[in-house]
Amino acid sequence: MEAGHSIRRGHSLATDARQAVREFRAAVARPDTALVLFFCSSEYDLDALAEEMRLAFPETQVVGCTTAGEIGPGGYRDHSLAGASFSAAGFSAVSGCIDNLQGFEIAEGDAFAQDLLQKLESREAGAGAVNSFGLLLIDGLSAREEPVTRSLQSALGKVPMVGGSAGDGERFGSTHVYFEGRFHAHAAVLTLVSTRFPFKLFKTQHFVATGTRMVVTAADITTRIVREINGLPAAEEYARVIGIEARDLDPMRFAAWPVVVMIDGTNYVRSIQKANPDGSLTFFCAIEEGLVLRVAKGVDLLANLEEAFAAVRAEIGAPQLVLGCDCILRKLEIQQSPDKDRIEDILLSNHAVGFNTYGEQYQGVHVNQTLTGIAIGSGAIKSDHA
Amino acid sequence: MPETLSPAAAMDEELLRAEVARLNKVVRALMDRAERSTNVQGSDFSLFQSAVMLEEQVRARTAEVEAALRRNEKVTRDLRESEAKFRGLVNQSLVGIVIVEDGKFTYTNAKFNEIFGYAADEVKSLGPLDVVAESDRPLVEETLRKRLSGEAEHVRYSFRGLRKNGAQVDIECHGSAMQTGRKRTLISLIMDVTERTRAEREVLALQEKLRDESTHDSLTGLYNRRFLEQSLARELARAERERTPVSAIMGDLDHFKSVNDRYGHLAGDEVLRFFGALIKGRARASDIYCRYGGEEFLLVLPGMDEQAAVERAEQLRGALAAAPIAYGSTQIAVTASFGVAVFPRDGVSGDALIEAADNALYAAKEAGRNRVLVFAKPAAPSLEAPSSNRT
Repeated sequence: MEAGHSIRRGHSLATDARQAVREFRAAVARPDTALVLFFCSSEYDLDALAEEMRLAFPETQVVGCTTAGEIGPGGYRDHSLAGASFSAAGFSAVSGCIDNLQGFEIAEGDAFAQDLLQKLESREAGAGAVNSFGLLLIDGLSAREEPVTRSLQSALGKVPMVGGSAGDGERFGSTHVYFEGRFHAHAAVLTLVSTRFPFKLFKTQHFVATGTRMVVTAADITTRIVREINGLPAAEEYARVIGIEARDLDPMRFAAWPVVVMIDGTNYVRSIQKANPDGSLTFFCAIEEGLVLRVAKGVDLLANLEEAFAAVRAEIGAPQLVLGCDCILRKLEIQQSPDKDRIEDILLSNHAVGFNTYGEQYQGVHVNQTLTGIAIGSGAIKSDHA
Repeated sequence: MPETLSPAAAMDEELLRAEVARLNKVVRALMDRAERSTNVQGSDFSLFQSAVMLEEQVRARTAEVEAALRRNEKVTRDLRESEAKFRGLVNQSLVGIVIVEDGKFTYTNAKFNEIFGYAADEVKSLGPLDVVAESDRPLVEETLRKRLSGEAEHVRYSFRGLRKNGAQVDIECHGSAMQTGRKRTLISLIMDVTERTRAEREVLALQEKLRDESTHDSLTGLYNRRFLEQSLARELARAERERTPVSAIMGDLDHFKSVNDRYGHLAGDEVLRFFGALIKGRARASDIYCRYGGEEFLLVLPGMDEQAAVERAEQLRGALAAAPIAYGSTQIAVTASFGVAVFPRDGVSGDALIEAADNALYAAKEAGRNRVLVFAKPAAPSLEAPSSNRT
C-alpha cells in the first residue's frame, strides 16, 4: 500500500454545514478507515454538521473540534472544515471522551487514559511508546487544560501526547469537541493512534523574554482572570508596561507582547485572551497571585517555523501529514505579517492539517502561543524514534 | 518586583500612602505565593509548573540514560572490535598459541590446530601430552610439572610433536605460567621447527661436505695436498717426540699419459680412482693417503718402519699389476712405481721426507718401472740399488 494513500486530507470552504461535510467526505472517504479527524468553524450549524457527519461516516470513528481557524489543503482559513482520514492498514485508533470537565479529578484522568491505552493494546498487540501517540482535543474555555493534560500524560507514560484547546472564532462563548456523532461542551476527547509510520512530536515558539518583570497581585484562578498587576488594575498596568493606552489593547497587542513565566530557565508563554471591561485580563492558561511575569517579544516566526520543519524532515523525512495545533495569537500575527504567504506555503508543503487553538498541549504541559503537533512520515517506522 | 515606580508617586502624602499600599500588595502577593508553593496540593498553575519540572527531569534523566546506553554500546563495540583484532592477530599468528588449564587445552589458535592437524572443536578435548610423541612425553611432562608448581616461570624446550595423523614434527615451545584466580594457567607459544631442523641438518651436511672438499681430492676421495701439509708436520712432530719412525711411500702410475691418450681422459680418471681406492682400501686408520699430484699418490705411515713400508708398497704394486682395471667393456692393464723413504733417517722435515720418497720413486722409474725402491742417500752409492728390494 502506498504511503501517500494512508492519509487523505480534505478541506471544504463551504459555509453550509451539510455541504461542507459532503465535500469533506468526498475528499477523505475510503473503504478501510481507522479514524476520521476534523476541525470546523463554530459558525457552522453544529447540529446539522454532526448529523451529516454521522451519515457521511457511519460505523467509522470520527473525532473533531471547533476552532478559531482551520488549517488544511486550503491554507489558513476561517469558516471552513478541514480534516483527514487514516487508513486501517496504516493506523489503529481508539478514542474516548471526558465529559463535565468542571468536575474533573486527577484520578479520573488516570483511569480514563489507562483504560484507553488497554483498548489500543487489545486492538493492536504491538502498540507501545515507539509506534503510538495521543491526540487531545479539549474545550478551550473550560480552563481545565492543566490538570487534564498533566494527568493524561502521566497515565500514558512514554506514549507521547499532543493536543489543542478548541476555539470558537474568538467569540469566547463556548467551544466543542466532537465524539461519537455529536458535539460536546465542557469535554475533552483523547484519541490514541498506533501506526507503522515514523512520527515526531514538535513544538515551536518564537519569543524571547525581556528584562521587564511584573507581579500578579490579584487574580481569580478558576476563571484565569488577572485583576491586578503590580498592585494596579491589570489591563492598565500591562498597557503601561508595553507602552500603550489600555483602551488600545486588542488581541494583536496580546500576540505581539505576550507575557511569559520562567521555569527552570525556560520561558513559557502565558497568553492573554482578552481585556475585560472591568480592567482585568483573562488568560488562556493557569495563572495565580504572586506569579512573576516577564514581557516577551517576538523573534522571526518564519525562520523559526522553517527550522522546526527542517528538524522534522531530518528525522522522519517528508511528512505525509502534519497535525498542527496553532495558537490563535500566532494566526493573528501571521495574518499581519509580510511573510504570511511563505508561512502558508510551508504548512501546505508539509501537508499540514489542524486548527487555531485557544492553547496547546505538549506532553504533560498546557502551553500558549506555540505551534505544537505531530508529523507523520511515510517511511517504515524506525526502531527508535525519540 | 516592579521595576518602575508609578509616575503618580509624587511627594504628595496621599499619593505616597497609595504607593506604599501598592508595593505592600506586591510584596504580599509574592509572599503568599512563596508560602503556597510549599503546599502539596497545588493550584492549576502549580500543576503546570510541576509538570514542566517533571518533564524537564524526565528529559534530563532520559538523556542521561540514553547517553549511558550509548557509552555502554560504544564500550561494548570497542571491546568487540579489540577482541576481534586480538583474535585476528592471534589467529593469523605464525606461531601456535595454546592455553592449558586443568590439563586441557582451553584455547588454541588456528596455527596451533594447523601444526597438529586437528579441527578447532577436536582439540578442545585434548591435553598437552596428546600432541607429544611417546618418546618425549616424560620430558614434556616434567616441564609441565615445573611450570605448574612454579619452579619454572618461563621455559623453552624442543620436543617431537605428534600430529593427529600420527606423523611427527619437531616442536619448539616457549612457555610461561599465569595465575588466574586460584588456577594456574599455562600459556605456550608453539613453533613447528621441522622444516628448520631439516634445514639445519642440511646446512650441517653442506658444511661437512665443504670441509671435506677442502681436504679431499674430489676425483679419488683421498686427502689432498692441503690436508697433507696440515697433518704431516703434526705427525712428524709426534713421531719425533715419541721416537717412532714415519715412512712415506710415493706411488706413481707408469705410462699414465698413454692410458689417457689411448682410452681417453674418462678412462684415465677411472684408473686414478681405482688406484686411489686401492691405496685407501689397504690403509690403516692412522695413515694419511693423499693424491699428491696428477698421477702421484703419497702414503704417510706413522709408526711404520722401512720393512713394513716396503711390504705395503709391494702389496699395492702387486695388486695393481695383477688385475686389469675394467672400464666399460675394456680391461686396462696398468702398473705403478713406488719410492719409500723413512723419517727421520731419510729426511727430518716433511718436505725432505717427501723429496726422499720422490727421489726413490724416480729411481724406481729409472730402474724400469713397476717396482719399489727405498731411498738411498747419494753419499752411499752402495745403497742406491738394493737388489733385495727389487722385483
